[in-house]
Amino acid sequence: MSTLAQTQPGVRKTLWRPSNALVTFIVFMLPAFVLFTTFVMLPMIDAAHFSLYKWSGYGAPTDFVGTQNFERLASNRIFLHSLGNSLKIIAASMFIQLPLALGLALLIYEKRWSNTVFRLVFFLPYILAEVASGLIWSFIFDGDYGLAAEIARWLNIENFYILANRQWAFTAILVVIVWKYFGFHMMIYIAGLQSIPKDQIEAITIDGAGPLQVIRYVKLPMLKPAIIMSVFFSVIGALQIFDIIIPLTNGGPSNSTHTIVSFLYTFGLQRMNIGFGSAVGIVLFVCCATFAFTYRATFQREKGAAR
Amino acid sequence: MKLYRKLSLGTAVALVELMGVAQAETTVRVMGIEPNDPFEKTINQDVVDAYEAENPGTKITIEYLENSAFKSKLPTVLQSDKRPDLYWSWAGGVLEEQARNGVTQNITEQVKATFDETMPKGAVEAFSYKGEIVGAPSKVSLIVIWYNKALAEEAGVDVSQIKTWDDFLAAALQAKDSGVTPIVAGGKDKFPLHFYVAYLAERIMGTEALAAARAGENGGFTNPDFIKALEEFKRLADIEPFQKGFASATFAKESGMFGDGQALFELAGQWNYSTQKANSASGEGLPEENLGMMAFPAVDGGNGDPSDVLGGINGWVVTKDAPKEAVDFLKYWVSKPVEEKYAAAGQWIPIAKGAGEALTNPYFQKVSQMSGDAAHMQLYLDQAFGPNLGGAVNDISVDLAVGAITPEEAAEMLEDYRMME
Amino acid sequence: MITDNMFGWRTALRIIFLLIMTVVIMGPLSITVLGGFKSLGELRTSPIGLPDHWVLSNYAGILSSADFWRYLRNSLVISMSCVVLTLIVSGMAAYCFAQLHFFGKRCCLPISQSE
Repeated sequence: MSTLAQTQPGVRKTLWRPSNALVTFIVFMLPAFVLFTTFVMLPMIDAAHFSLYKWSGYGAPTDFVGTQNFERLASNRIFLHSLGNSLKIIAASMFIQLPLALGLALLIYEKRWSNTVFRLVFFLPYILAEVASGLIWSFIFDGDYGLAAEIARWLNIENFYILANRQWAFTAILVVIVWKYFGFHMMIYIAGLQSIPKDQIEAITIDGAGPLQVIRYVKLPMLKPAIIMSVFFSVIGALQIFDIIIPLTNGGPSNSTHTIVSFLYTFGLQRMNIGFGSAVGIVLFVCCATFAFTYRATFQREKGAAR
Repeated sequence: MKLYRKLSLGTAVALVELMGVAQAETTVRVMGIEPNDPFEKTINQDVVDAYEAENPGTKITIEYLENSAFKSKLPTVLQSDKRPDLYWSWAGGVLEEQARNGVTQNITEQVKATFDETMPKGAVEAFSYKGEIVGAPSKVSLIVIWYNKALAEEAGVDVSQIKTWDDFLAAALQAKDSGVTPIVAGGKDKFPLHFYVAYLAERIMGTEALAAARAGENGGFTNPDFIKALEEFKRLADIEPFQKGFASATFAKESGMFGDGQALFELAGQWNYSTQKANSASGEGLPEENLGMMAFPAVDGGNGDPSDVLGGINGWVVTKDAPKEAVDFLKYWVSKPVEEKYAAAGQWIPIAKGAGEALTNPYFQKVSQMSGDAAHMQLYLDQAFGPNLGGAVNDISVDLAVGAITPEEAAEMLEDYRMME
Repeated sequence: MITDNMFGWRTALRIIFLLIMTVVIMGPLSITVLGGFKSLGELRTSPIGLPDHWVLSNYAGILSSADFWRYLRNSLVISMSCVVLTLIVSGMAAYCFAQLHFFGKRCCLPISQSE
């Protein structure tokens, strides 16, 4: 607390003396701190605690097993596979979803009524409940009656059941994920693009730059903060994908399409291995936290260097 | 506030007791799952009304939760002081875990004499923990083979001649060769495929040896007889008898396809009588003259009794600290006259002795009879073995069906899970 | 002339692309809306396209069910109080992060815009 200091010069400095800053800090931070502690820190500490026990959720955890849950996790074939699946989601978000979102944002960011309509439409899947999206797409992928069946008839090939196929089921899930979430990232980019001062674009256009050059030299550089943020959200989001998996494949066939969280849900909660499930939760948390801090450190340094 | 309420309640109770008047109103809180057939709620309410009329001073409230919400809320609510007095249960491993942790109440003294008289022993045992009765069974479900008579004729299969598992495999093969899908299965939901593994294990090992394997005796799940059961299932899977894409089909799709007349056999509970209607394209299901039902075939040389059945038992569990009125209401609820009301409405195979006679549907009559004649009843393995090992049984059933593992690997996997418990 | 022509091409391509995307988005969504008018069996056997028989009981059942309105009210209460609480609490905390310097500040925020 002794390191508390004013940052803003000027008017505030005369009004707010350092002691006031301390008071402000305590008063303003306290509610957030209390809520954060109760709803984030304490459950996390609980989870860390439970992860060292074999516990069904009934009674108090008494069967201390040390790091056994983590060891079992490290050698669990299905878990390692679901870890890989989560990485695939990250890759699909990075290389398909974000470029798509960026492209669409560039096409429809200008304030026009037709663009507003498109923006609304593209944002709709994001609003739709995850479970509902999964369910609809399971109808579409249905090899007997769904769109997949129509396509098979049209191409005159044998019906294919993509969700029943261990090699391809996860690709189908990636399609649904991109479909569902690109609208969110598109909105981030649109907000970023709309805040680019018009005179900058005009200036470079007068200098003879074509539309692609405007994108390359003005829009993309100006979008950098938005892109940094959207990558961050898409990675954290990808690690937490869950609701879509259950109605689409229920993790199957042969547990080949689980993500980290659907693995946690199925093998931890549904099967009443709360201790084991907590261990998965801790691993997931460590993944997210490591990513968040590394990511931040990387871009902080870059900014510092640029200055 | 809470303390005050407790104090005043205590005073009130003391006063009433002092005066010797039983006027204090007791509320019995029941927590159940949203029934598939809304009509069940109506009967429940009738039963509650009738009971309340006879027992002034007791009030019954039933809260219904959606199936999965119920399951995820139960552990928390049972361990809080907001726990209901009676709750819905599938018996098996979960009930055992609840009883072991002391959230249930031993009601043996109050009910044993009555239940001994009115209920089959096995069903009461399913609601007992270490010999203490903790609740009451109310209905039973049995897994049977449903078949489509029209398709059997088309494929040239004489279903009445299917006596053994080998006959069944031959019938499946013949159907496949004549272009009829032999079996529909909902692999995405996993449990429909586990019925085969469970029945084969029951037929080959017998219920007692299966329970011994569960307990880790005779090599646990790597016991040769259990592996034999998995191998027999593999034999079926090798025929590729299931509909295309079965690994991504839900149970709803399975029963709908059967109701549409798209496959010869379906291994499912008697409840499939109504689900194959509801999920069929027409909403009508198979016409009854085409809808056949038979018991799971015997396995040559198996130790199990061919009359043994696989199924589920549902009922109500009494929680600790529940008032004695809760037990009293429960006794009334599962008594023969009340169970007859449910049976007459056509959805339930009642457990109380003799109540099955109120059934009017011929399929259900047959199932009720099978349940009465069975030498043993094996609870669904995913209930009986508890959620962890039971879930693993479901997993390996799908893995075997899609050909992802061998019977030996499946047995090893189950044994690993068992040893970790 | 050439630039005009190119502009026309571009616009046409842009609109075609946007329309394709619209179909990709709206197709599945329309299945949801229309699916509500189908019976369980029809939803399974023809999920795509207009219903053969318009079943109104699904929507009517939801809208006339007291449970639904109670759930809706619950959701509303939860989301409203969430918004209000989040705005107040995080607004106050954000002020501290933006305007004050304190030990550990850099560690608390994974992404900070105000450096």
